[in-house]
Amino acid sequence: MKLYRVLDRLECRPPFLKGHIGTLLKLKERSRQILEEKGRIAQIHAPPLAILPGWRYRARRLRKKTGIDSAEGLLMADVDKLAERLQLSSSIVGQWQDDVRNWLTVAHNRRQSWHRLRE
Amino acid sequence: MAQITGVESWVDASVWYSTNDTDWTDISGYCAGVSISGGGRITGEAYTFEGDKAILGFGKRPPVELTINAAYTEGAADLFAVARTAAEDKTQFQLRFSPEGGDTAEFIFSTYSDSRIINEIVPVGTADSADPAFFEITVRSRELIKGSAT
Repeated sequence: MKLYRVLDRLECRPPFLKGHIGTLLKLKERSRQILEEKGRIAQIHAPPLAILPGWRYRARRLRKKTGIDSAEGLLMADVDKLAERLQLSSSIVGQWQDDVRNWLTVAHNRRQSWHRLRE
Repeated sequence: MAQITGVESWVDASVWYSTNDTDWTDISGYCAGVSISGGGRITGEAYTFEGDKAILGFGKRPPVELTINAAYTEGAADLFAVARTAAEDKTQFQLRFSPEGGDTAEFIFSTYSDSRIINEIVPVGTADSADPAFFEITVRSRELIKGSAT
């Protein structure tokens, strides 16, 4: 499964806002291909979790208990199942996903997304 | 620089309306034209005794008015009836258009979810014209949102 960054607002229900990071599985594969070709979305090639600042301990724990060692793996995993295997609350694991998502989000886009949310 | 290629015309444009920001109805078969006014950034200027040219100030962006020209028909569920009701009731009415038609990755411009119709919805014409009757819908929106079709 691929992870994408949305580079232009995508009109669907509900829309994917610029800066969103996700698998975009809601869209057809052909649509994802066209959107990527035309530069509306870009595939993310994230670094290993262990090299993100402040992630050494969490990355080790994740790898040991779940086998996940990449940002893509963490973001695409089901929060509840992950929480169960890590013996943590879902909210903590959700926070981990948000942290990684923030690392992968370009600051400019992050600000725009925040403005949209505030509206 | 070599001359550009791939320029699109408006001949295959698409236009939609929505009354709930979720369900969009294609009205390309009614619509013959799209125009926009407003939306340009407010600017200010001042002159001093010393200089010869203005000092400029750049302010906020005012609302946009998007107008479509649509064919007049009298069916109960036709665009005229829907627009007239929305205008009279002052309820949500959004427009969106895609200059290239709205296939995947083509740009779509939409009015904001709190848009309203601000003109009188009524057909107009003259006795010497055999052209089909048309009417205008003008929607005022805080901004035009650009996105890509999926």
